[in-house]
Formats: sequence, C-alpha cells, structure tokens
Amino acid sequence: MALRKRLDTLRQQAGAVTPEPERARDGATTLQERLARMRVGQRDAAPRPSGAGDADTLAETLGAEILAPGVLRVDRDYADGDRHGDAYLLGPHARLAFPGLPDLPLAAIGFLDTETSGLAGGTGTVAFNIGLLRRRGNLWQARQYLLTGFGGEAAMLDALADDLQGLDCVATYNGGSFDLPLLRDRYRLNGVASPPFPATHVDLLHPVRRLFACCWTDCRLATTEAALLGLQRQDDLPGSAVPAVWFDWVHRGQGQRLGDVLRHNRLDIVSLLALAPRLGDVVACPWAWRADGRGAAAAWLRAGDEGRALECLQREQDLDAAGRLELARLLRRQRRLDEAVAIWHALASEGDTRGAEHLAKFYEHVQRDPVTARRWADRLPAGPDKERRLSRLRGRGAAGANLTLEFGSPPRRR
Amino acid sequence: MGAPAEQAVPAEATDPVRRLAGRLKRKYGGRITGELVVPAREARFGKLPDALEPRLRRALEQRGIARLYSHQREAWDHIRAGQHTVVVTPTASGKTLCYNLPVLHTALTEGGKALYLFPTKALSQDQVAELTELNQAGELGIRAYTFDGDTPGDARKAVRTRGDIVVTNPDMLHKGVLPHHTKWAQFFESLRYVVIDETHTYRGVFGSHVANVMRRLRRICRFYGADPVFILSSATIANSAELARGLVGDEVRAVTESGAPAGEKQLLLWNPPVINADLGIRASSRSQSTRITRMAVRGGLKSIVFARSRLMVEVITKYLKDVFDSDPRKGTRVAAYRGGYLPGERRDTEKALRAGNVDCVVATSALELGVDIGSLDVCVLDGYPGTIAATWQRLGRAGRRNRTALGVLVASSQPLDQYIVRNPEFFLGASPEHARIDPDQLLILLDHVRCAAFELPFRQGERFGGEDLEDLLTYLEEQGVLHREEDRWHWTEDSYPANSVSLRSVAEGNFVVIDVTDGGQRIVAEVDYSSAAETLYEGAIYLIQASPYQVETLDWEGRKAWVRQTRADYYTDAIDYTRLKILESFEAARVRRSECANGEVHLVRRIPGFKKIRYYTHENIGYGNINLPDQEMHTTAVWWEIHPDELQAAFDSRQEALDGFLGAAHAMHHVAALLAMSEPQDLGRAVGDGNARWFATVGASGRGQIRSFEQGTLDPEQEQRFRPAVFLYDNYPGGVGLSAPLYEQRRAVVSDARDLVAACGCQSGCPGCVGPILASDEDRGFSPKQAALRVMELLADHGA
Repeated sequence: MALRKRLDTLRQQAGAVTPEPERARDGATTLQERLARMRVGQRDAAPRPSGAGDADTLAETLGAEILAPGVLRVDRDYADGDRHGDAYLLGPHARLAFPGLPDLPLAAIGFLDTETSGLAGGTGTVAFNIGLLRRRGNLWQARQYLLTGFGGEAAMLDALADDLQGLDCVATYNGGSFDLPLLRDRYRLNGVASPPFPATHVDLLHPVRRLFACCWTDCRLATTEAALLGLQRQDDLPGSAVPAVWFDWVHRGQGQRLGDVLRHNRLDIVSLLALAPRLGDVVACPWAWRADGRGAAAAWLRAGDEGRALECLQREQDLDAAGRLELARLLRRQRRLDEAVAIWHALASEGDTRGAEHLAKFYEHVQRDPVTARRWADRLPAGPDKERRLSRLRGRGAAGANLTLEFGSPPRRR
Repeated sequence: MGAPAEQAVPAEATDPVRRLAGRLKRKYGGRITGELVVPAREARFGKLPDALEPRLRRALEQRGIARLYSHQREAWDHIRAGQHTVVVTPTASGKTLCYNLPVLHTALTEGGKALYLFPTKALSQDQVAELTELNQAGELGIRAYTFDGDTPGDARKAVRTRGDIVVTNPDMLHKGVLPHHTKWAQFFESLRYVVIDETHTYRGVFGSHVANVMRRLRRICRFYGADPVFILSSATIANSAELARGLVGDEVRAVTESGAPAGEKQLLLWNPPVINADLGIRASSRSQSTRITRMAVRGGLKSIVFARSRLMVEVITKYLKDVFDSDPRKGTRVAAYRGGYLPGERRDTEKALRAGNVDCVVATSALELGVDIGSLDVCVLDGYPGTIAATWQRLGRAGRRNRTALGVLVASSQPLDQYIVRNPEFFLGASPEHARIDPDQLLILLDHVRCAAFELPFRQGERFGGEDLEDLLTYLEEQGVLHREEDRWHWTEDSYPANSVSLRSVAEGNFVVIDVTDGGQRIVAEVDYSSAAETLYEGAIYLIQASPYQVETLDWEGRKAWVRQTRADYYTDAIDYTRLKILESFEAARVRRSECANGEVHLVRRIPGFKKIRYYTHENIGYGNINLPDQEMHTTAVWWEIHPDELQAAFDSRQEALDGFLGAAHAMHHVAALLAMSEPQDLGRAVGDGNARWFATVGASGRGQIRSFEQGTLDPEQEQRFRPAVFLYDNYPGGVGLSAPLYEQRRAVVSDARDLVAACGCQSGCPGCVGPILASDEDRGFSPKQAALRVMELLADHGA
C-alpha cells in the first residue's frame, strides 16, 4: 500500500520518532516492525492482533442480556438493610437530608455513573458503560448498560431515557462537570436536542468537598467510601485503566476485564446510594466524623439554620481565625455579646486587626464608649477607614470628655 | 468603516507632501532607483439595498453612511445571492462593512448567526468594538462576543448560546470549538455566515492547516443541517480568489474593484549610498530612514516608519526622539508601536495617532493588520518587508481618501532588498505574489482527518480532502486510532487529537527554547522540528526579535534548548551538508544546453559544525563542532542542470564551474523565495550531484568544494561523473507545495537571479548577490561573480 508507506516515512521525518536508517523501507514484516516502533512509549505499544469478540459469549459470561445489537444490560437487585462496607442500605423513605440540597426521599433519586473511553472530553469520548441505581418495587435495582459496539449507543441512550422516567432527581459524583455534560453530548450526537434528565441534579462531590477538602488529600469517591462507609475495595480496577479495557474489546475482541469494569461501576452507584443519607449524618454532627465544622456551618447557614451552624463552629476543635470571626458574628446575632467580645479580644491580643476592628465597632455603636472605641481603632492598619473612624470618634470623644475618667490619659496617636 | 468623502486634490504648490517628494528627488537623486505615481481615484457609489433592514439602515445613516461604495454593494449582491465571496480591495476601503452588512441584516431579520475568524486576538477585539459601536448607534440588540483563550469559563456558555456573532481565531476553532461542537449545537444550527478576514495571512503551512479546519467546520455544519456562506476579505495578492477557493473548498466570487476614493500616491525606491565599493557595503538603511523621516516631520507631515524588528523600532525611535522630543516641557511627538508592549499602551498610541497628537510613529508589522490609526502622510519602510503584498499593505497606511501620500522604500543590504531596488520595474510593474496553500499535504491532511474523526465518525463514501479518504482511515485503523464498525470509523483513543496538532507547523516534535538568563526557566520561543538542527545547536546564536541568545544545552530527544542572553558581536551560521537523491522526476523541460525538472527527492542532511560571522564585516571569526543525528526527508524539489559537454566547454576548470553553481544557487534561492511568497527558510537550497554521489559546499577558504559523507573532501577533477545541479526544495517533509509553482516560474527564477547578480555594484561578488566572497580574485584566477553569471546564462538558454 503506497499511501501507508509514504505516511510512515513522512511522519518519521517530521519527528514522530527518532529517524532510523534507510534499510527498513520495503516488505510487509518490516512495516509491521516500524509501526510497532513508532508506537514506543504509547499506552499499548504491543502488536495489535485485531479480532472481533462474540457479544453472545460475553453476555453469557457477564450474566447480561442483549438489549439490542451492540448493547448489553445487567440488572442486580439490593434489599433494604443490605450491607455496603460498614453501612447498611436504607429504605425508600430515608431522605437526602443535607442542608441546601433538595429534601427528597431516596426513592425519588436515580444514582448515576458512567465509564468512558477517555477522560479528555470532547465529542470523541464515548460512555460505553452507564450504571443507574433506583428504586423498583421493593428493591434497589442497579441497572448497567455496556456497549459491545458503537452501533448500540442509540438503543442504550433510549433505554436510559426510559429508566430515568418518574425520577425527580439524579445524583452523581462529579457528574456536574463530567458525566452529565458527556451524556448530553452523546444525546446531541444521536439527534436528541434535550436530554431526558430530571430537573434536579445533585452532585455529591460538592458536599463532600465542603466537609472534607480541608482534611483529606483528595476527595475521590474511593477516599470518601473508605472514610464514611468503611468500604475497602478489593481488586478494584483503577479508573485510569478503564479506557484500555474497552479498547481491548473493540480492537481485539478481548473482553476478560469488562466484568471488572461493571463491578467497579456498580460499586460506584451503590456507594452513592449509601453516601446520600450518610452525608446528612455528617453535616448534623461534623465533630463526630472529623469533618470541617466551618464547612458544615456554611451549609447550615445557607439553609438558614443559624443555631445548627453555631453548634458546628462551637464544637470544632481547631477553628482558624476566619472560623472564630464567623463564630463571633453568629454569637453577636444571637445577642450573646459577652462570648463574642471574648473571641474578638482573643483575636486582637494575637495581633489580628479584624478582632480590633470588631471591638472598635462594638464600643462605638453598641456600648457608646468612644474612648475605648478609639483605643481599638488606633490599632487598625493605616488607611482611609481608620482615618474616618478616628476622626469621627475624636469628635464624639470631645463632646463626652467627662466620660474619660475611666482611664488616665486618653490614648495618643503616634 | 469607510464613510464616503469628497475628493479634493490640493494644488501642487501648496501640497507639502509633493514638496517633500520634490526635495528628496533634487537632493538625493542618485539614491532613488525607481519612482511610481499612483493617480488619485474617484469614489464610486452604489445605493443602500432596498431590502436592508430599517433599523440597520437608520444605524448607518446615523453614522453618516447614506450610500455604499460600489464594491460594498457588489459584495452585498453576491452574498445575498448565497455565493461565497472574497473582497479584495486596498487598506481603508471599507472592507468590514462588506461583511458586517449582510451579517447584521440576517441577524436582525432571521436570527441568523455568524462566525468571524481573525488571525490574531488583538484584531478580534478591535472588530467587536466596532460592531458594538454600530450596534449602539442603531440600538440593534445584536450580541457580538469574542471567544478565545481569554474568555472566562463562566462566560463561555453565554457566548455559545446567546451570541449572534462569535469572533474567534482559527486556533481556537480548531482546539476549542469543533471538538466540542455539541455544546455549540444551537449556534451551528443557525450559522449563516463565516467571515474570514485578512485572508492573505493564511498561506503556506498555516494556510494549509486552516483550509483543513474549514473542511472540518463545513462537515460539522452539515451535521447540523447548516450550509453557511463564506465571506472573505484579503489584501491584494495575485491569487486571492484562488486562495479563497482553496480555503473554502468551493467556488468563490471575487470583488476586486474598489469604489473607495484614494488620494494620489507617490512611491520612491531608495538605495543607501555605497561606502565600501570592494566589499559592496552600503550605508545602513536605518540612517537613511531616519533622515527621510526627519525631513518629513520638519515639513509638518504625519509619518510612519516600519522597521523589521523590535530592536530596530527602538533604535529609530531613539534617533527621532533625540531630534524632536528633546524638550521635556513639550508633548511627545514621536511614538513607538510594536509587539511586546502592553495592550493598554498600544491603545493609547492608537488613540494619539487618530487624534493627530503624535507626528510620527515607528512600528513593526504589528500595525500592518487592520488596526485603525487614522490618516498619515508619509510612510517610510526601513527594509523590504519580504513580499510585495506586505509592502503595499504597509504603504497603504499613508494616504487615505483625499490626500496625497508619499511612500519611501529604503533597501537594506540583504539580497532581496538589493534586488528590489535595483530592479524597480520588478516591484513597480509586477503583480503581488501568489499565496500558496497545499491542503492535501499528506501529514497535514492526516492530522485533520484524525481531528475530524474525533468530532464525528466518518461514514463510508464521505469525502474529505483530495487523497483517498478510505486509505487514510484504514491507515489510522491499523494504528488503533480508529475502529471500523460497518460503514463507520469511530475514534478509539484516550486522547484529544487537536491538542497535538499545531496549525503553525507540519512536524510533530516542536522544540521549545528556554531562557535561563535570570536564573529562571522562561520559554521564549518555539522552533519547528525541521529547522531545529540548523538553529539550536550548542553554541548557536539564536536571535529573538534581533536580541542575541546563545544556546547552552540542546536536549534533542526532549526537544528543548536552553539559552542565555549574550552580547556577542557575531552570529552563527550552520555548515549544512545536504545530500540529495532524485527519486522521481514528475516533469522536465529540456533546453539546448540545460534542463530543469520538478520531482521528488530524498535528502539527508548533516550539520557537522558552524561558523561564527562578525556583524557588518561578515568576517569569519571561528568554528564550532556540532554533534547531531542526520536528518532525512522526502520532499519535492526543482532542480537545474547543465549538460556535461556544455559545462566543460564553458569553464576552464571544474572548480570554476562549481563556484559558479554555488553563487548561482545563492541568488536563485533568494529570488525564488520572493517569487513563491515564502520565507527563505521554507525553501531549502543545495548544490550537488543528483545521484547523491557528492554535494557541494563553500569551504573554509571561501571556495567551493565537493564532499561525500563517507570520504570527506573529493577532488572535482578526479570525479568520473561531474553533473552539478542547483536544487531548491520544500523544506518540510512531504513538501508544502512550493516547488510545483517554482517549476512553472523556472525561467523567471533564473533570469531574475541573473539580473540581480549582473546589476550588483560589487566587483567579484558580495553577500547581496552570490554570497560572501573570501578568496580574492588572484587566488582563484577567476571571478566567482562571472562564473555564477555564466552558469545562469547556460541555465537561462532557451535554445532555438
């Protein structure tokens, strides 16, 4: 094939690989060698015997049914009370009780995760495995689709649309920036302009980040499962290996590891089901889960519950300056002024000018004590704010000079 | 936007521009080698179209536009008839209205969308500003947004879904839009127009890539049921319609008759005086440009000086400021404008220019593309910009509408410059260059087939480019990049192919140049794989915007070069041993004593060392060794040979013939680059034996020698076969389509090169004609210049 030879030669000369001596220019075997060499350092550099796998056999091995040409379906049921890690699956009426997220019974939610042919995004990336876990009858059903050929995609997307019917919400882990946009693209490519997702989407990664970003090295699902569900996966397929497994099947008909992909994906969606109520437990008492009290407090505040927020902050062991300021702010709003002032004093004594600023405001506006207010205002960093405050206080200080008995001489500006 | 203005030619006696031209001619007549007067042109008008949307009509009228120039109306008629159209008219003739009018009309009447492509980000922003102005004037409610690397993530969705006009560049379309076309579905479904401005900049490798990006764009549009009309605008080049056709891949109507008025233009070609006749050294162009500009500014004329490097901009600015801005109490009269300044600074300069607050601006080509700076009277070009088209574009900066303008092209001592000023009829008479693209260049095409396959699976029977698509797809399938299932090829790699395809190169492994001067690691340049070996060897002086850096370390495998700023007073020139073997001759033209052919060659190139050459004197002050792997390349070439008998009869010795060939090659190379509208480095040159037995090079003595890789220096007299050839080849693997047109112009290459050498004022050769000459005449016993001329006589001989 003349074109192929031309291309090989040209690409080599354009720096695709180290140029090589002139000898290997003819013959079919040398071309194979050179192709193999050109791929040195790439993901699957091994020679690629191509071959087509048999979808029937695969379906049998995986315990799947053939939904349509090119797509398999596997269903697995779970009962209420089934164990997942050290957690138990709850019933349909248990709620996603996380402040700021829609308060829904688990039965109204579909838990979704995809496995894809790549992580780069863009229209060349295919979701070849989609898992959706939802309530059906008295059981939780994990339904998984697996493409055995590109031609099955339309049928898979149609079936998924049916499965999503009747749900109020779909929950994912990082689906906001990955799975859902990707599926929207796939629907769009298949001529569906408005994908069939429920109106509400809950990305469980966001509450996890809020509660644990400060404390964990990462917020991957595996990390979350281990910490919150006590789940240790055995022989789990790493996510980075997933595309290669799919390409092994597509290019060579080797489907041995597709079962591992399905298992990985199924564990993901069951974890989402277990995680949804568990996050409610964590946010209710973050101190018991070593979660970030500030993150929990922010969630409660957003939902308008100042009391819970206050509690989260008060029980937090090592609150940073911003957290203490927030705590003082909430205390002040609850008219617990003594406690707030104590926090500001502590901060100011550590040299935090924000503490001084609050004290200056407090003495000026609440205590109506311009002299003490001035003493604190003096500690503010130089700037127009400080000048304004001081000049205002000086005026008042003069008017109420008889009040300056408390302290010897009034503080002086240096 | 080009509001029509009335013609008013000032009387000669009171016209300061003509007065300046007269003074220059009287005082420096000897330096002026050519002169051209382009007469003033009257405006020609057309009516605003009756169908024009009323709000748009009002917006135009509010801006003083009650009628159109004839070319604007002509463009409207073609575009509204659904024809792809290219508008080729001079600077400041109101090109933008040609596309804004139909685009805005369609947006207002049908909600049709438009995609604008500009070669640079700065131009995109200017364009959006202009659209916004018109939009506000008429309260049209049209949304025009830029979409490029600077568009914040949260604004992107609004651009995609709400933009009526999206302004971007080809690189962003290639990497950021097409691979995510599903997110742009709404936009593509209503896409009615694609506007490509500054079309002439899409040539060579870049243009070949962009043509393929357009193939991908049209393929995606078809997927969404859209078939947009392409509107292109271009500066004047010889083949703008052909270029537009190549880019769009379809028939394109050309609008070439400008209806915009223009004042008279005078152009002078200026050669600095010779100051050393033996070495052929002339006074610097810089000193001449400064002198002319000084006279212009003193005469009260607004002037612009174009310099070829940032450094030169600074130098000339300093010289002029020393004269005009020495009094700090007065306002600034001279400003510099170049790349590398902050955008805000540049905007301020533009504003000062438009307002007439500055008398003179010194600029690089950054000002060449459509940035609006208002009217100027005098344009001085310090050095030939490299192409006729770019020259006219820069000259177009002076003289708008109803004023006389003067342009002066000041030649440097480069061969091209010297050729231009010594052959004024070439420049003044010739049409501008052809811009060549080769969208079917195999590697470029393959790159975009990959990108296109990622965007949408290919179907059997689909077409993409001029090669057999199914062969290419099969190739990619064998590599595991694609997988065929029934009649479709699907993408099967965990990658994003557009990220590894740069529109600005053919090769895959670009080298990055890292500056370590300040102890840091700052990337300062990127060098094509093809030219890395000859520019980035250890010890090389690498010039970035005329500042010298020295290469300290080169990591060939890792594609990196570490450089440090230096103050060396020399530059380096790689010794290039290039051995060529003719593989196949596509076509050949035999004449009585010589032959010229075009075909495929195999080339092996070795860079064994480099020379250090002192600036100005061109003296060779040392050598260095280079240890790099040989480079191999298949490419296309044109070559010239002389029949051995004729050669023997014409020269006393083979040595003399050889020196003649080397000198001829030097001159022909530069002339060919000029004719092909390419940079000299896009085109390689070599002298050697077509069977790869030996190659010729200029040795340490300054004399030609022949060598082979295996045996080193050979004695020409001892060689059985002595058939030297001049090769000019495409300096990219597979070629980028330069050699076939050069073959067509083979006579012009030889005869123009011969004229260049013959007209050179030097005695026996100089860098301006046959290349640097070291050995003296007595040493050789002949003049290398005469030898080169004799070679070209034989090559030019068309026989009976």
